[in-house]
Amino acid sequence: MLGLWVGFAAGVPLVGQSLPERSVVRIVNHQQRGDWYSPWNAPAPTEGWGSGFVLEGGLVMTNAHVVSDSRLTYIYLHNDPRPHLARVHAIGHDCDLALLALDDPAVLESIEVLRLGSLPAPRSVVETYGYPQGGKRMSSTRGVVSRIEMQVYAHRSTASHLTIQTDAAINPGNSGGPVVQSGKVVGVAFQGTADLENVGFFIPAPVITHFLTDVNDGEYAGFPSLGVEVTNLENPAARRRAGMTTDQTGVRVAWVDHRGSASGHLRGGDVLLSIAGTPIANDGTVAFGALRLDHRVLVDQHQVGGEVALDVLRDGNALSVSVPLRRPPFGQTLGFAYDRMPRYYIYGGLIFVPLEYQLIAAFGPGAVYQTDLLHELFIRPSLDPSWDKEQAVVLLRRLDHPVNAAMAWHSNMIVERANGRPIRSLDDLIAALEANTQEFQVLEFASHNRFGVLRRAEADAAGPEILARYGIAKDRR
Amino acid sequence: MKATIKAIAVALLLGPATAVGQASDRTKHDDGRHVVELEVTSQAWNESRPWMKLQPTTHGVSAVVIAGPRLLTSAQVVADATLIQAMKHGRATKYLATVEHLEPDLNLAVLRAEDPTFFDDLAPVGLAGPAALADELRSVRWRNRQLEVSSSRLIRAEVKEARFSRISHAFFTVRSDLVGGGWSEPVFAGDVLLGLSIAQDQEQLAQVLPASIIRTYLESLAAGDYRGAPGLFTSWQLNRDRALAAYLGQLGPPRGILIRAAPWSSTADGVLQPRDLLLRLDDHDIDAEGYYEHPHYGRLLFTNIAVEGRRVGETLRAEVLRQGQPLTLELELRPYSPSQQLIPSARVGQAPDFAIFGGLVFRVLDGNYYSIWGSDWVSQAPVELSALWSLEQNAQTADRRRIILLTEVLPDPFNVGYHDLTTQVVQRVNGRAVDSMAELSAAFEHPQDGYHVIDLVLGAEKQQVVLDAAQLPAASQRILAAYQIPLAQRIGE
Repeated sequence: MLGLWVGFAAGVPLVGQSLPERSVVRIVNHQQRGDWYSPWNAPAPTEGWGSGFVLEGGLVMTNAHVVSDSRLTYIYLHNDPRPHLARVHAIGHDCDLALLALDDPAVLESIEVLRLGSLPAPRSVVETYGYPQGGKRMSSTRGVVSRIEMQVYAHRSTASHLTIQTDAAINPGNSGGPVVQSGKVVGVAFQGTADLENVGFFIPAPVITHFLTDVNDGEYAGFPSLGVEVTNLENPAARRRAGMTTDQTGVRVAWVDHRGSASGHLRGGDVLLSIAGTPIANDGTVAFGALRLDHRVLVDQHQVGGEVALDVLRDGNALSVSVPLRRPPFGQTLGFAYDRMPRYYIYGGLIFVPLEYQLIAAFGPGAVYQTDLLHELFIRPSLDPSWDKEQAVVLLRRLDHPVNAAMAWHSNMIVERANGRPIRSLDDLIAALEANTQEFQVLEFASHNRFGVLRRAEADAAGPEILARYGIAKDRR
Repeated sequence: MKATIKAIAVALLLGPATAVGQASDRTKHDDGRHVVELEVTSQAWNESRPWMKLQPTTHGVSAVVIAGPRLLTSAQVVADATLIQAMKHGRATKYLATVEHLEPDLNLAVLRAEDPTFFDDLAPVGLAGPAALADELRSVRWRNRQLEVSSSRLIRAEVKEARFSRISHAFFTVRSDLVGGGWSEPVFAGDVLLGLSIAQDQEQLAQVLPASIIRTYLESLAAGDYRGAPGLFTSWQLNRDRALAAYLGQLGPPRGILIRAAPWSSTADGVLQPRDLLLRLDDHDIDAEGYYEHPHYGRLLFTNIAVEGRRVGETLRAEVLRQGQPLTLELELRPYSPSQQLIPSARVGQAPDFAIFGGLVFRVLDGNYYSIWGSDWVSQAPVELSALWSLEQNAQTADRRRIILLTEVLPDPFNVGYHDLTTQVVQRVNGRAVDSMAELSAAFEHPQDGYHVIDLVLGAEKQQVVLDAAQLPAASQRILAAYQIPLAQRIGE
């Protein structure tokens, strides 16, 4: 890195050379995120910075987190002080990748595009390019491929995908910049960790390729998932009891999400022997080129809408199944939310919202104390066979008014029934309250027989006044 | 024991006059004959290594002399005692004392001295009666061979939950000059005991267990018919909301409280029902916030009615509004000890039960286990455990008495594949639902086709452990030896 900058400062001629930095752009994104605690609010926009690079087709690739919740996005070309308006062409929050298109595509015509490479080898040298810390001058760093593994992508935080760890410095602002080897892009810088020193992570080429293939049809579907929980079969007694021969390896299917791809194809207790013909080891890993990685990397190689072949041992009998792949169940609910404002419904001053991870995150450090909400979101769906909600609904809090001021329970309550009707979504709740013609609106909550009552006529009448008093334009989104 | 304790009752009745409010002149009182110092060496169990104990600690605490003669102190200071030595009159001579009766639910303990001559120059204290609250109080303890008498003032009476149980009764809040109190120091009103200080905060506010609670306990104990501490133990909510009251068929201003649940085997189980409005209890009107007018202490939460002056087996008359209809019901008072909870809130003075099979360590989930995550365990413990506490702590039924945990796996080649398992709820062992350590142990005697199969459930991390049944005994012995564990199980229930 030092050599590069010394050379540049000393005026080493650059004209005519094919240098990646000419294809690297600085991105300024003015974003506006929703307020999950006061969901009717439109909070002040904030400015964020990141990096990107020019791909074929007149598009700029960057991280999803660089351009999420965009209200206005500019890019700046290398050594060009002029801002160029851009808009999100495609975005994949699960894989933290996005494509930008420029309002004036001609701007990129003279820019050399960067071409995608492949998965770099462990210990091989890579270079990063970007604009860390919002700086207006490009920075380049160099390091080696330290580790290749499946790791949680923090942007959405729902799933792990192939990730490369490097000792090349990757700092805020580097995000979205290319990681280059032999002149080709082998990754996109995207996240770091406070737990390790001098460590950064980038999204490797196979994940980028998956994203680009996915968006070819104009719509991003995301990475598929089997929707199962598996446990290892490292214990020989467990393998024998499962009926496995000594040359068979695999993992035990512990739980099948009824909303997931494998529902109807796999059962709890099945032994998953192979995915797409690749055997699964007893510790859940598979051979992936010269690497051993978590078996889910094989599912990641498929697209939503495709099928994956599985070899299974069920009750001692081998069988092959082909599983049509779908998005992970509740991918939108269990991770951070982007590019949408929160839904809500206010009735009689009571604020109802769907239960989702972003809501829990709105509690900040206090989120860990929201035990009942965490249980409903993460635990109950897998424990309670009768749980069939589309999305649980929370009475988040109330806007104090005489019609509701005496209610005993009014914050962070899961609404189980309204006027006797099971509540499986916010729409269910709205319908249950608005269709009711009885004297009372009765809300039953999920635990400890808690419930609350409003007089319907009073609550109906007070609605507009409450909204006006608290400066809220609409009772729902 | 019954015979000797019965003597307490006689003396209680013959004890000093129960007047309060006398001038706080230390020379007028003979506190030194009523108060003794206990040097208590305690050793609690190591909740994460239940076959071990923690380091012993020694504290100086207080006790009062009661009829019998016996010593009375709080359960919390002697529950884990390994040695109790009593001292009197500020002298260094130590007399061996032992716990004769421990009542964790009320946080009280009666002690006897091994040497009866210990009581020769001591005198039992009388208990304050239901008189008006006195302004002039004094807290007393022995310290540095001196009788330390500290001026104290009663701030208020209020109902709180007991330290180790769900019993909810009146406590006094007393402001005291005594520094570092809360170790069972007696608070005197005139010549009688107002109560024992069981906690004190940094603002010198002490929580005092009142004589009215102590009196009933000692009288029942002396009568030989003590069956535990009674209470109502319902889950309830306020009835301030006119809309809710009207929905439940109540006309006029809301009054009474809304019953949400009565735990299985508790006083109200099978008598009060969810959505009953409890209007009156034992001829006391209950307001919409749950308060009633105590004849001496002012407004108190209604739960005190079922505790103060009450014994297990007595009946209370309850007037309720059920589906708009008034009803009069009889409630036979029962105890509701932590042992009646699905997750006992506390295990006092008892060793934790555990069992180790093939290196898998099992134990009962109780409040003590949560304490390994510190006082802020709600945020520090796995959310699955926090949720169990929040949602199911009182959900014990005849078929589901306890939650059994697999707490850790002591690594060995025998249990390879399971080394990372920690804090998992056990659902079944060898196909049998287990809700006690005894059942767990029995289930391990019935392997399935040569395997022990342990089904665990905790959130989405469902796991099944399979172990070779033939190899388990030898592996267990090897693992116990390797990890220096002296016993394979302790099952006391």
